Amino acid sequence: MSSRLPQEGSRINREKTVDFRFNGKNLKGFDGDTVASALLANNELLVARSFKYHRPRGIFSEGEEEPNALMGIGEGPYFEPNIRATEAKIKQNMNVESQNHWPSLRFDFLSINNLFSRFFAAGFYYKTFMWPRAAWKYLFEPMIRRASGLGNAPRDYDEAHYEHIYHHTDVLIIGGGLAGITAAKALSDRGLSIMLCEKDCVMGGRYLEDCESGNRERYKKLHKSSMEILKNSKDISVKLNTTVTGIFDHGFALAYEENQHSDTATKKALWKIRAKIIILCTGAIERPLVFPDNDLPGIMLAASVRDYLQKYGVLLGDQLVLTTNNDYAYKTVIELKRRGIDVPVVLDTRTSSDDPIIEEIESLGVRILFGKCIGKVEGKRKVDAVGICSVNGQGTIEELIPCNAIAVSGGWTPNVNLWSHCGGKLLWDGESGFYKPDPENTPIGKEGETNMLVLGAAAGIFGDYDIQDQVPRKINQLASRLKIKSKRYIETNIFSKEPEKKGIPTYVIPHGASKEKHKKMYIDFQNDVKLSDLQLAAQEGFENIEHAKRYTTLGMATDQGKTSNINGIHVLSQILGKPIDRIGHTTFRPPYKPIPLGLIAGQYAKKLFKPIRKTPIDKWNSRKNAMWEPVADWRRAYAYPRGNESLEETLSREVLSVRKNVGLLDASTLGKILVKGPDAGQFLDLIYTNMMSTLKDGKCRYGLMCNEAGFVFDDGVVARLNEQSFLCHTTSGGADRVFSWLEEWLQTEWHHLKVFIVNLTEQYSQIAVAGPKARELLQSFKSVDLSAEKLPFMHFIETYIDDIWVRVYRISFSGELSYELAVNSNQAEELWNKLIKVGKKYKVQPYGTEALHILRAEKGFIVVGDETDGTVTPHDLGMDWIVSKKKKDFIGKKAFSLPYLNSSLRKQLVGILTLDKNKVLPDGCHAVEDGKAIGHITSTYFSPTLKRAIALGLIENGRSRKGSTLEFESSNKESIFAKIVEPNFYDPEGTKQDG
Amino acid sequence: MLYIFCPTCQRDCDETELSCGGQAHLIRRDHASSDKDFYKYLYERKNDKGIIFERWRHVYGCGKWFHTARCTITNQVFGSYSAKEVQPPKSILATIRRYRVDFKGWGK
Amino acid sequence: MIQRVPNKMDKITDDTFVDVYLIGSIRSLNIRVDQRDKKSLNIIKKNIAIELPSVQKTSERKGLTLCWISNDEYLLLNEKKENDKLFNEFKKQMNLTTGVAENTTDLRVWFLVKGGRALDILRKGVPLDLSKSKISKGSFFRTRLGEIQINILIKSSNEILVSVLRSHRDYMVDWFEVCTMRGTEINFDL
Repeated sequence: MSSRLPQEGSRINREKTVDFRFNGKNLKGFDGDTVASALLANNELLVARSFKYHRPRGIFSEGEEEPNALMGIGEGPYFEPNIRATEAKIKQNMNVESQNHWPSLRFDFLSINNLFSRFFAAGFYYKTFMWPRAAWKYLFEPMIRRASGLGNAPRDYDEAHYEHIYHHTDVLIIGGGLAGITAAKALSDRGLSIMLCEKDCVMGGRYLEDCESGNRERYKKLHKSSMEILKNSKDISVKLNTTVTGIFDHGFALAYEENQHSDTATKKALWKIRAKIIILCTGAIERPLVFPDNDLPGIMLAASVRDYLQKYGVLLGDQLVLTTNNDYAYKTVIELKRRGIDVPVVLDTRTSSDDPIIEEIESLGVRILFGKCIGKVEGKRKVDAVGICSVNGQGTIEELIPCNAIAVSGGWTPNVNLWSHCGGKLLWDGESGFYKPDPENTPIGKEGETNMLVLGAAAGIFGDYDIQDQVPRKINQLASRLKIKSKRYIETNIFSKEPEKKGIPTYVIPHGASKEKHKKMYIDFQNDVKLSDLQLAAQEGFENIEHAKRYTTLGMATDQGKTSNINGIHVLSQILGKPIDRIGHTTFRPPYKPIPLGLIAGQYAKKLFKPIRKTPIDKWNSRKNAMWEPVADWRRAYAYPRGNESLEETLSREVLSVRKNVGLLDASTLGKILVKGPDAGQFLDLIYTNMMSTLKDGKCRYGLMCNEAGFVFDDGVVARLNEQSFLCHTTSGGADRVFSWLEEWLQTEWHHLKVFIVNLTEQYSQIAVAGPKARELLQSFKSVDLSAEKLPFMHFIETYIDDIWVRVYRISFSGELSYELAVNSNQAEELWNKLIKVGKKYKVQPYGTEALHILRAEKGFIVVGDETDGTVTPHDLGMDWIVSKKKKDFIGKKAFSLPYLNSSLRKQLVGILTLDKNKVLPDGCHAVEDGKAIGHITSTYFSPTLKRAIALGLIENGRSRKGSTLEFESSNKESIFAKIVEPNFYDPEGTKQDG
Repeated sequence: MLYIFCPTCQRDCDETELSCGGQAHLIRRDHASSDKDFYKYLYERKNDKGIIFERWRHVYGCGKWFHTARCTITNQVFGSYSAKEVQPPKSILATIRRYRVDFKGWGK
Repeated sequence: MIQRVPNKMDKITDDTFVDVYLIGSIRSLNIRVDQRDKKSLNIIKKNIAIELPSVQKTSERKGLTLCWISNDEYLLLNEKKENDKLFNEFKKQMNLTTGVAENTTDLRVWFLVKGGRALDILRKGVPLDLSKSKISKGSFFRTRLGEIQINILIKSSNEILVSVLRSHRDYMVDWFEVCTMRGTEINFDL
């Protein structure tokens, strides 16, 4: 029975009541309560079911180490699963739901798993469900799916506000307890920027809760003055509610800020911190003792019991038994007795202790039994009584003591996860029974320097006096090592040197427990790993800790084994009879604490998910309800449907308008790279397979680029602007790639060449005017003379349309008379509108990228990325003519001489006509011969011009197959027969391009 | 997340500002080379555990290529230098030796 | 330094803690020049009479700003109509040498970010150290913001000019809208 005390609670505001719902029940808490403290205040001891056996579980801790109390919190677009009840603050009307139960928390059908627990031992999934095969689909998988998984995925789009923030700092201090605060003070005024991240909503860590009651005023005074110093220091920035969750190379740290104070949407930020020095003051986590029935609701870590008392005025139970192996945990008894709470017995695994605290407690009339521990716990969904047994026995119950709560302490484990994330090694401290950071093997920064310092409890230093003594000393050493303003920091140690609180490392009790008892001794609560599971793993040969971890799932749950690792390692060492330091430990990996997926996305969701590049004519396209096609990062107009047209009708209309009248295409995305310099021609000769240096001013030439392996990489038209300058056009998707490619060769191989390149892709927009009436349309602007003599095919001129400067290229990707107009992008929309307006007379129509593709496929022109896939040579494409025989060197030349690239069995580009002319071959479908795939379709369309299906494809030895019929197989196994032809279906003589 | 010095911009760059170009100091083999040399140039790359020499481009910044020496075990970076160098400069090799006494030298 | 009085119409943020204005184009030339090419360097010196800026800096004179992009690349910005003639003449002269001066006015769009929180906004996407102490007036950075490339010209700690490719204009407007919402200020707690 847990309840709220009538007064007390440093974190809560009793003036302000907060209503919330837990599993549909209306409950009340106070402002400042966590979900956990509010549930305990309402006597909700049973708050969760365990993952595997669906055992009843209660709140076990007060912080991020919580293994049991994971909740689904919030509703609709603000729902989040797997939130630790110990960390989430309650808010008005908040909805909280427990997880892992069906149909309800109290009556969980799947808790029958518990009865079958001996079948669910370690490796269960690997050993069971092997056969029959069909049972997998219909029985095993649906069953496992129902039973497994932690919490429910949100159903609605997440509306919380997430964002990323970069932060650079000289020093990052992680943890705002005594060590962190002292470190920050000691580092201030040295010209360093300091960031301190504290996971809690207040500073101070444990020191205010855990100080001796007589010293409390002194501690408060120190805290107040420290906060003043931190507040007034210009160097120090403090982030509360911010957990550093991962440390990465070169001083990079990720921190998760959860601002719970705003009334509107919670703001969550992922801080990407780059620090020169990281100071770890992450404290320690109390670990439990492992004893039979240790997972019942009502059992809690000893320090958490006093935290709930002091922070929230919440009492776990008024008949509380403490089981411990150390003096420190006795503080809990003192706190309870101070409030008049009955502590029937303290069970101490040690034989004696000479700490003064023992005397103090005995004088309060508390019965202390040394050498005793818990042999069993009675109760079904809560603690009813404990059976006492001898530590060294087999668990024979000597006495049954009624109680309603158990506080457990197995000592403290330094919180070293972050030390290990980026290479720091750990040392086993046998005397204290934990791993602590190895000062000789630290994480290092980019120059190989030690970049992490660990202070306070995280380093295994627990006493306030010792911390206050250690921190300034270490900081002064650090300052002199870094040669920073080496003003020595001196602080009077207000603490008195106390005798060290001692404990004997004990983990599992009673020592001689039977096998039956082992099955009730839980090590990892969240993943339901029992002592017997680890025994089984060891017995089956999984002796390495990393193997045992994976076989049993020890420490693999969302709590990362914060309370279970050391106990698990100890158990393994006992079973194998090896010392703990030879067992080693598993690797700690980020994240230290789970972070929401939305936070990883940050602001880059919804409309910021992906940058979409838009052309200057995008607005017009958008107004005309264009369908879009993504081309690299661009969106391009795919087609411009009108009225109730079907897509086929639209495409047919657009293609025929180019063939019969004139069409306009927004080709702005085309890559445009200026190559300038005295050696520009020489450079381009090396880049392209054909000769570019011989190109005359005012002329254009189509070019192909290959990589060194001889495969086609990009293509486009090159225009020679003047003696020194070439403008190279690339594919829309290839502009950045080609620009990088050219820069790479210029910077790293041919840096002797006097050539500069500039990426002008977006400086110029390009509009294609294509069709038999293209010339007429353009000539209707005054002062534009585009006669065949003035501007022959593959030439360009610079002129003005009205007062808009344009560069007009006579090039054709459709086979029709065609001009491409380059215009400064700021004037592109204006020019486009003029062309549309003037073009009305000539029935001009805009056409999209799909019509463009049909038009070029009718002509058999290739598209890099359709006809090529990174394994296709110019020879394969039937473009031998474009590979220079004269040039001494160019990229790909050597490869073209290799036998494999000259094999007659290579796939070659051919045209393909289905025997049934209305049957359009599926894209990518395979040609089959003697049961073997011998090629595939690269482009396939219904040609509105030819009124039949056409396709291009790469077929083994295709050129010699011309005239023959091949079988193509679609994905639904349908056979389609088609004839192999020349890849040029329309106007093979090329008479149309002159108009 | 590496933090690498760009010799052109004279500043450390977040790894996300850079693109890695793989092994440094490859020698281009042209049409006159043997098939074997050409194969090595195209496909054979070192994958050392320890010190490597690699190419980076400050693609979001100045756009320049440079080389670094880096330890693949600890990610310690021993310095950045010009992409025009055909082999690591002496100063870089000296830095490596200062930290790795058993370093045998470049290409060994 | 770039002088521009933001027009109310161009303001793209509302009810936020920082003001962002869409400026549009600024007349610009991309200059490429080899540091050993004395002839080209002389033309820069003679025609526009601006000292070459040092690494990641700008230098300016009479409404012309020269920004450092790389050791062989600069960006010249012209904010004053009076400079057009000079600007064009320089372009012509420069292209007679082995260097390059190419009009890139239409290539980018510019934004002006104003207010005490101007640097903070950029910290939500830019991996550079933008702490006030590290940034000086007249700095020019080329880096990334989220997934896109960005140029940052620091006029002062609370006035920053930012440019991206023109095709990213709408994306950048959206980015500013999302990242400047009230309640998303970057704050420290004590």
